[in-house]
Amino acid sequence: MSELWVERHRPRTVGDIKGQRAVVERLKAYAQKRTFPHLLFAGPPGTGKTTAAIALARDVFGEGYRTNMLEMNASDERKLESIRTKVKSFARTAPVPGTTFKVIFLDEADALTPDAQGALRRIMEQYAETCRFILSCNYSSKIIEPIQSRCAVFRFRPLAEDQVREMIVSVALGEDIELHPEAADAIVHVSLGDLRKAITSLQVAASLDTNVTRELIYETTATAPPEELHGYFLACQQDGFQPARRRLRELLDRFGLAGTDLVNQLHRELGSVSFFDESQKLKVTEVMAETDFRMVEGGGESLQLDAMTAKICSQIKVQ
Amino acid sequence: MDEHLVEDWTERYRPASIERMEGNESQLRRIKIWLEQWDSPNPPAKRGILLSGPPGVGKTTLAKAIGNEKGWTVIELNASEERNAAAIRKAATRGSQHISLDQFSENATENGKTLILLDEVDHLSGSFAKLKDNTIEKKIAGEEVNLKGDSGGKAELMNLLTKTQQPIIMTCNDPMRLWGSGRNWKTNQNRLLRLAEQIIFKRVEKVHMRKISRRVLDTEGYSIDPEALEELIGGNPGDLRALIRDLQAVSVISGEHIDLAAVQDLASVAIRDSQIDVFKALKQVYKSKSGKDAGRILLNSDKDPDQMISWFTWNNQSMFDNRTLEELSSAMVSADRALATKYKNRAYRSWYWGSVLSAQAAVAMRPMDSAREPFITYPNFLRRGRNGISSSVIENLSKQLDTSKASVREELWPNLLAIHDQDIGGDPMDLSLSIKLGLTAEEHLSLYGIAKSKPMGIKILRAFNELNEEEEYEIITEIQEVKQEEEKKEDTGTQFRLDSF
Repeated sequence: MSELWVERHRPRTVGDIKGQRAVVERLKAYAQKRTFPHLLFAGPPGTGKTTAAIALARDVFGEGYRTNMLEMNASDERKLESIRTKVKSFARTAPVPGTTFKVIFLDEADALTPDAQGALRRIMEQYAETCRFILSCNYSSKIIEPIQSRCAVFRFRPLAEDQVREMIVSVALGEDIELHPEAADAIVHVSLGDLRKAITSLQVAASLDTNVTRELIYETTATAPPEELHGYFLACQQDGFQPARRRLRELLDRFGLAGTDLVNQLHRELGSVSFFDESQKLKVTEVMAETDFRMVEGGGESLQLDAMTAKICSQIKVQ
Repeated sequence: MDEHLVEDWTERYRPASIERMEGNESQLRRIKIWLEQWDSPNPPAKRGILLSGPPGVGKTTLAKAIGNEKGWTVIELNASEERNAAAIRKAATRGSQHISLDQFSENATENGKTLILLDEVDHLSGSFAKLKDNTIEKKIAGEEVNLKGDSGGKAELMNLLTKTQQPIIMTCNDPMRLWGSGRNWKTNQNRLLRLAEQIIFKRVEKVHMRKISRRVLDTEGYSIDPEALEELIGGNPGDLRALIRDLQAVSVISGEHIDLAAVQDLASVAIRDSQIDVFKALKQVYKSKSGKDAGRILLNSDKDPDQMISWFTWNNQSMFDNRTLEELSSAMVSADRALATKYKNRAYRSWYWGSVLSAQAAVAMRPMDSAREPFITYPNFLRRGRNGISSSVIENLSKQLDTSKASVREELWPNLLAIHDQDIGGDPMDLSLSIKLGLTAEEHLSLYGIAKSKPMGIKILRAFNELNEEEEYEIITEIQEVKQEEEKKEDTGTQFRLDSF
């Protein structure tokens, strides 16, 4: 296993991208005409923004696309100076013979400072003839309006569960891995619509055992399975502090979780706990946010988690 | 595609003359008057023009069209270049040299001006502080001088506006950003506007967008269904560049005829932030039954948690009664703190808590009137420029009353606003108090949030002027009484919320 599966199974042309139907449709039209305007890709991680940018460049320029493309991670070079120097100097050089323009791919463009974005907008216009920008970001509201106005905007949605499952199954097939159906469900549950995370989870599990089971997935992704998390809430409500505390300790040990991860996973499960009403869930959420905050600030993990359990127990007993 | 044409429609259809520009008629008229003054032997008193307004309404286009029409040389300095004091001075002197050369050439004209275009001046970084003259000269001479960012740029801009014999056009989206948020913003504003005329461009109206769309599509050989055109324009906040970009985008996925389905397809993925319907998302959140659903709606709303929490804080107040608000307050405080943690510790994970807490809070409690459709409003404290209005009044009042600005802002101002709140009986036509306090007519209007240009505003302005002519009001020592009067009035008024200011 010498290669990341995420890379090996990355769609090579825009037509191969899974999900994002409306996005893909438009990108295909660009690929066909072998040209495109400035683009802004917005959406959560793992929804195919980078993949789409690279696939589009390959479709337009062919295999040698890399010579005609500057990839920059904006969160590393977010300063005004690097826009004025690095980006500008690439933008003003001539495109490779045989092509009419070059591409600058600015990943995580929402990390650019407003001043840097201000510098960017005129470059985008001045060199539009010879250089197209593809910006990607998680939150488009962090991109100033003048830039959005200069771009064709594409919104990437989190992938639907069956799209993730379909992709996972096909990767497993290609890699000759035996993937149990419940294990596929577990990957879908763990990845939250993030395809990159899903494929990586599969690869990590498969590196231990080519027979991938549900347990293996939860173990290797350091995720507690839903029923265990559910069990903790149940213990809080019915058995009281000591038993609940024991369960929590057990979860930490068995799945090798950090305290903050556990709190996060517990909260994601909280939504489907049926024996708390919405106002109890608010109280519990508050307690969890508080616990997470204290741990971020440097509070001791076991002490804070015990306090959390105690508070949850007392919050849901009254009623 | 024709090889000789620019590929990008927004460049291809950039109007080359003022006549061809759409929208903002009165603004364009003012520009023309300014331009005519340049034709006379004496240049206008204000050498500069500051064009402000949202993106895509034609600010830069206008500047270029002017250069084109007048045959002026245009020197452009935009935010993609260094714009420290030295760079600006260099550009300006380049301009004047150009003229002196011009006079020797055969077809030299009286009006061979050089237009200096400073794009996006609100992105000039740094303050209005001056640099030493010899530092600037050294830098121009090419010596090694370390100037950070755009240092001295704003001061040199002022200097240029004072001395130049050439027309200068500046553009910006947000003038407040140019003045800066420091204590001196008002002074900065006054100084600059003495030297340059501010012309505010508005978002372009639908009629013009329709006209432009048809013109562009006709030229490109596309036809479009009327409903499709309306759909496209309906989702556009008045940004012509975005409009033309969308037209090009939809033409790419259509044949020669553009129908409604193509536009809707585009709309489903291509929403810019100015078009995102937070109102709809919030309505859904308040109506949803569980925190889980609410969280999912928020995830798809494309607004970041920082903004969402403002929206919730504001709208919760009309959704829940006071007791419920009290119960929710601790959750909202935690949410707010979680967002702050992100900045402090770079713990991006705490964004999660900021957003789930506010979402859960919105669904956990029963609204005051659960049968009623949630009525979502724009958070007042996110509105821009509100502080701007009040600061001038505060400065004025603190001078008149010999008190600190802080006490005017924190004690007097809220009372004044409450007295003038039209919802609880304030009468905009009652000028007595404002005159006693020595407020100007404009400041009186700002207390009521009435625009000068509205019929009501004009009426009040007229009344104000008449009163001032009739008799000289004495301001003297009635202040104490005034204050008591205010307090009395406030007691009888209904409660007002701090957030209203």
